Amino acid sequence: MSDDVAPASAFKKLGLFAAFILAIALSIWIGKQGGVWTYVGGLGTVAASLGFALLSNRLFRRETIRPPMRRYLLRFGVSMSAYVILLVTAVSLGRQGLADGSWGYLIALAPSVGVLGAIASIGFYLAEETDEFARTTLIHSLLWGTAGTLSVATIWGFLETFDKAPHVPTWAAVPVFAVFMGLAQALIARRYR
Amino acid sequence: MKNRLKILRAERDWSQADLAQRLDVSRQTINALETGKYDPSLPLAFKIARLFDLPIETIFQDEA
Repeated sequence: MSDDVAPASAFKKLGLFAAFILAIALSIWIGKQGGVWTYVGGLGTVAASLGFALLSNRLFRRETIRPPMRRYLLRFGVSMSAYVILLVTAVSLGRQGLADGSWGYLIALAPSVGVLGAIASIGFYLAEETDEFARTTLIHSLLWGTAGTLSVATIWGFLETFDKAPHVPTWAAVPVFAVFMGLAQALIARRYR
Repeated sequence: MKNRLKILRAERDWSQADLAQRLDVSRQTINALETGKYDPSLPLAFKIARLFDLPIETIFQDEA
């Protein structure tokens, strides 16, 4: 246990978590109103997640965010915001039948740009982070994320081959990776507490 | 690997955050070092030794 950091009160922790869930639920509800609200709801989800990351850092770690992490959160936030805008736009253009033909490739590829940006932001963070322990723990969680994603993809792929599971698009690999990596980060943080 | 970081820090009346700032690392890193759960690289170990103005082997003790 760390000696000179008073634990954040359970009340504050619970409050932050409740506020995060509420903000996400509100964003989803706004997004469901359709039209331009889909953008608002999507961007709201991104903002709520970033806000949760920033506030939980302040609350649980009692520490200002170091510059490499600040740059990472900024890049990640910009990438995910771009992803939301590009995805909503691409889907709505696709529904209007505008994704047909060779120009349709541009529309089909557009959402990936945001996700690739988010992946690159992790790479930039690893390159810029001067704290070796932060780098080491991140690399551990990235490896757990990789192992988890490859395992799930292999199992699902064979189930699919033998018609035992429905088809899943390969972009699902990113959210699966994020879940495994997030779980690993939580467990690793616990180990070094 | 055992180390005397916590004692050295207490002697100077520094918090984990103070030491973290002087070494340009996060407070989590200091905590992981002090609890012996993470061994620093040579560059970080030398940096710590310079900060406390002590030889490395008086701060870190190899149990082997």
